[in-house]
Amino acid sequence: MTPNENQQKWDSAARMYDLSGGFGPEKRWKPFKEELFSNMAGKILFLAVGTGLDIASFPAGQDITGIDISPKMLEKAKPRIDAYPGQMSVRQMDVHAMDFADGTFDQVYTSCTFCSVPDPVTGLSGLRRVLKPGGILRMFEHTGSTYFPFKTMLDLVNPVFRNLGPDINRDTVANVREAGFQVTKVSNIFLDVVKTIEATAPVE
Amino acid sequence: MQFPSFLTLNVSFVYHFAVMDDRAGRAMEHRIYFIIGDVLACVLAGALGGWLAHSAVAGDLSMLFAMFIGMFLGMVGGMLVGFIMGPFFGAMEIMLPTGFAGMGAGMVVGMQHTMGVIDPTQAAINGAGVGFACLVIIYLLQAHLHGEVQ
Repeated sequence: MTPNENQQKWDSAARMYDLSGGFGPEKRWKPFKEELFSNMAGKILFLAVGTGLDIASFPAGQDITGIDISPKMLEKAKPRIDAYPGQMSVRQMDVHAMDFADGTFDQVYTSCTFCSVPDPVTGLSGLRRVLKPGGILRMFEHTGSTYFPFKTMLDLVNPVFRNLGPDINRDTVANVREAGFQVTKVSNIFLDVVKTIEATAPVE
Repeated sequence: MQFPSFLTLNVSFVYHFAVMDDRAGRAMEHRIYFIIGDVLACVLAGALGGWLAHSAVAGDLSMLFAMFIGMFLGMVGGMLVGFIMGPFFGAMEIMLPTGFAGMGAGMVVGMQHTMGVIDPTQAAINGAGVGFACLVIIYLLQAHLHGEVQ
């Protein structure tokens, strides 16, 4: 998928995004997201702002730079960004080709993002580059499962979901490792499918 | 019309189990809205899975074939229920249990149908019971899998 096709896919999804994910899933995950985001400190990059649903779970007073590939998503997110009680700016940018200087950020956060990035290892490598050495990556992601019958189900319906938006059977923890991070903590939130991942950019 | 014994399992078991586990570390869903959603979705998925299996499987089919056909149809139907109810009650937390409930219900009812004639209503009721039992299994699995794994 080219960056342009990816952008178009998420531009199209922007219209209905809050309807499908804004209530049930978001309410269900909010306590876990709040717990993860409560660790925010320093200069932060938040990847894939989307329509800004996660902003309500951010602690106040942080210095956050958000990016998203879709201008339509960012348009929808604007009221939530404006309402954030802290310093938050957003830019339209593809994670595969970020123009931030090396070592710009202390921490990077993602939320249900690396199910959708077309080349996850390249995207994660980009995050490692823009993190300061020793900087922290914290992710809230859904992944594939290692257990029957959940693995079979997710593998079976993945082609349908991929067309609508995300892949639902990725091994994101393995991708984080492959991108050169040191994974320090993995916690299951729902079965072994929804999880939080913490990793550190190596000090070279 | 006869209700299967597993359908009469006390629903409060799920609730109390969830609350008790919550005290031990928020492994389980404890918000009543979502627990009701889980139960409703799995019972519906089970009923649909049972009905689909009953509709697709001929009474004289081999039990093994009936089991696999029922499992597949039930899973697809269950995941469809999850997809429809997802915006109200959650994403993976609904879709995976409903897929599992539909699969279990399709399997049981498909096999049951080859052992003796059951009407579509009874197939749906039996499927609903299996769907609820599948949710209990999911809750137990969740209690086992939740938390730090590395």
